[in-house]
Amino acid sequence: MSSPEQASSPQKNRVRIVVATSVMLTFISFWRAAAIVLNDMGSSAFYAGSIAEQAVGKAAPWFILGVMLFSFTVRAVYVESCSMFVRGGVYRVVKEALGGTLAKISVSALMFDYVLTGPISGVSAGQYIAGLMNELLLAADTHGWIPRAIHQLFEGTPHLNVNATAVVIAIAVTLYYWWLNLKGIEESSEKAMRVMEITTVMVVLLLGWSFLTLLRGNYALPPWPVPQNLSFSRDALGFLKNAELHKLFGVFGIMIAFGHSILAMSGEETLAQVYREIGSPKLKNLKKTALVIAVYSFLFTGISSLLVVMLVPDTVRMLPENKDNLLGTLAMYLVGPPLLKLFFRAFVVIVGFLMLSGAINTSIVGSNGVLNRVSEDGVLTDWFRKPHKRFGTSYRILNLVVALQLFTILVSRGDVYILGEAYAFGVIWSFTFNSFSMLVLRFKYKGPRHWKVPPNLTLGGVEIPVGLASVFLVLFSTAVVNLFTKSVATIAGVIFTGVLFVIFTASEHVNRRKLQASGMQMREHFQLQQEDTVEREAVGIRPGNVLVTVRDYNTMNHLKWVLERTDTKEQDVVVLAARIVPDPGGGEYGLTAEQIFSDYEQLLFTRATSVAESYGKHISLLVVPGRDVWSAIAQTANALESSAVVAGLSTKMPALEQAFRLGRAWEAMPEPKGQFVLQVVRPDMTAETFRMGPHTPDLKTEDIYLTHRIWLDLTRDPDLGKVHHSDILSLALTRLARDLFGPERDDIMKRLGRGATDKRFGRKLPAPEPPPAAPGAASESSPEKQSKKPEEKGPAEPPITGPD
Amino acid sequence: MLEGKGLIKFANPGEENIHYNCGEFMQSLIAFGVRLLEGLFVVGVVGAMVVLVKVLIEDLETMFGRSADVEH
Repeated sequence: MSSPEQASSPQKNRVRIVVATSVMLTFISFWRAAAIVLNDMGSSAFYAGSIAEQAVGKAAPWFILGVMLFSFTVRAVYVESCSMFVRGGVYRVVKEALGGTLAKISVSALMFDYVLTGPISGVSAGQYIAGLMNELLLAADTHGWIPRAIHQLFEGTPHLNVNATAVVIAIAVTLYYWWLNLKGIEESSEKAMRVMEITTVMVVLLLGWSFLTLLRGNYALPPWPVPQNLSFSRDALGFLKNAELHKLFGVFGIMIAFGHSILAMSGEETLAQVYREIGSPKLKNLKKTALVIAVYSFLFTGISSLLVVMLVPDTVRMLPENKDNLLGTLAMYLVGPPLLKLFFRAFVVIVGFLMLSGAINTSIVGSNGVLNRVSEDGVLTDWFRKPHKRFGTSYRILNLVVALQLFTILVSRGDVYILGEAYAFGVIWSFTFNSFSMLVLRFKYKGPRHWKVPPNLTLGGVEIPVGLASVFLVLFSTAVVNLFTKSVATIAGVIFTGVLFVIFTASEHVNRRKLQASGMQMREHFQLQQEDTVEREAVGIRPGNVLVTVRDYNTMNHLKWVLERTDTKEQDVVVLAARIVPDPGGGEYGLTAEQIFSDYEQLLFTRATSVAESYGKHISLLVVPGRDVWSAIAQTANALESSAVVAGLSTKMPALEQAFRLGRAWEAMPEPKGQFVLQVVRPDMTAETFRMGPHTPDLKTEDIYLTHRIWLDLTRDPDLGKVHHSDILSLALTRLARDLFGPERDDIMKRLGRGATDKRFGRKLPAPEPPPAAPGAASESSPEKQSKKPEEKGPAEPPITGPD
Repeated sequence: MLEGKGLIKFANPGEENIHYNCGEFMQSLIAFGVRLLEGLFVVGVVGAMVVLVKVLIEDLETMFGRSADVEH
């Protein structure tokens, strides 16, 4: 909807820019949403049990189970917050309820959580790999496969220093994801699904095999979680290590133990971030997602922690080489032949590595997203968001986050326990802020909600949010106890949060003054027209227009190419800047038109306008936020009924790849969707054209000849005299579609993959078989399914954006 | 309640087991603070159990399609 103030005061000499504020999203199922959250949350299963046991003793698994049950209720708080704010997350919720200052503190705590997620995951992954390597070396030594010289060199069985190896692996993986993020990797729910499928196989095997082992009866339950069974390490009591308060107050001990186990439910925030992506009916699917996550985490993190204590002997479990890779150690204490157990341990380690390294990526993406959003909110200066010259990513934020993570890894010296202790600070305080804000909002905004945390009692016309208050009380009391018992977390967390808060506040002050000046300047040149969604009428253009995508103000060749060939009196030209907002888990918050149209977009459009003015032609300007650039372009082209999308050649991928990605985004769009062409303009001003959507394929000459030869062969038979060339193609396609779902699928895929790069593909086809069915079989065929791979083009087609 | 020796014992680096008697007022303040936290925690846990049961029942109904998204 247009802002009345903006729409009613158009001034001469000001360029109108339509800014769409709704993000162009590709919606996902609740299974995929659950997979994204579990990729982050499930990774804590690999270290939470060990950290808790080192802190509170053998009763730790019960507390982990308790935390996993409690996480059901924290999830309920997130469901309520999502039902109020589609673009939710701690920052947005706290800002609405408690104002900007507390929002900055809460987001600082969240950043502490994100920054530590990387190191703890990386170091834990390293511990698992080092543990496996040592086990393999031991097995090799037992069989006499280690050369004597090496044996002598190590004065016994060769082994890796677990902590040092963990540091090296953590640094290597962090640098790898830093590089990928710098280049601008594209996250997909598909990848998350694959990782979760493999993890599920591992979890089922681990639990099933462990229960089989339990049937032998050689196990003991951990001691019950009562005060007399708690044995805290000195570190676990933090500032109270000499006070012995836990002995004086029974429940206090339980609270300390609960606080040391709380990191088992880290990753909940991702649920709020992923909500926007979930398909309709949104709330119902969100609840399903929450349930899947809760049950999965309970089984994986909760039950596996219990099984470790039940099956791995005490003397083995807390050995330095085992204590930080307990799931790997558990694999070696199952029933079965040693070699099989070793293979299973390797499988556990591979899955652990996949999940934990994925969590490192989530932490980088998440931190980057949160700081970008905070920057867009005017809290950080634009200096942080300056795009990388080549890749266009916010490299300064990435460098800052990764530098902090590398520093943390080095300081921890590979000790997962220290990292886990510190990590819990961010986890508990971001939950506490969120639940308190939701409690405040119950009284602040009394309007209807889609869902509320039950139960709610009404006394004298006032609704008491009993459930929400209960969850807050548990979180708050645990957070306060953690302040005293987790000295590392308190010192590191308070310093980090304090420093970040000061940076945010000072930066916001500087930014406000700068924005006042640049805002006035911008208002003189541009008139922003805010729209919820992109509509052709709102942009004021005709169907069949040309959509030109721009990203870098230094490369406007493709815009020049379009303007040279288009009579804008006959065909409108729309210049589109797709503003990318982060992936799920990346801290997505609502943006205003001014935030979407930032300094960078201002510069970009100033350049585009001056190019258009140099040709004396009119262009329309449009900014759309989107999760994925290709999806945003495809959806905008569809909404504007564009006949062509024109893009410059990417520095990261060839034109064919650009077309493939846009084609995939086109396929993912819901109906109704129109067809258009993509024209990729190279720096030398030549262009390649690709069609989006179902279309008549460009057949190669040899394919036409092959079809004709088959037709000649068939029509020699008098019964097949009425067969047409199209019948042959229909039959061939029907058979291909059928074979694609049969055992020959892999072979076909290989041939098609080769064919895409092999110009001789058509000639390599085997001699055609005589058709088994009558010509009428073509009518039974399934409709032609458009290949997602864009066809190869020969020489560039003449431009079709308009009359020359 | 906390008669006898000082409740809080801080150890300075290098000087183990040096006891500081914090005084009765401080002791009772700490005791009150701890009891208050315990009380909040226990009340919260009891309430959270109710939340857990209600949410689980509702989630199962949602999963098997028996519930609409209605306001509580």
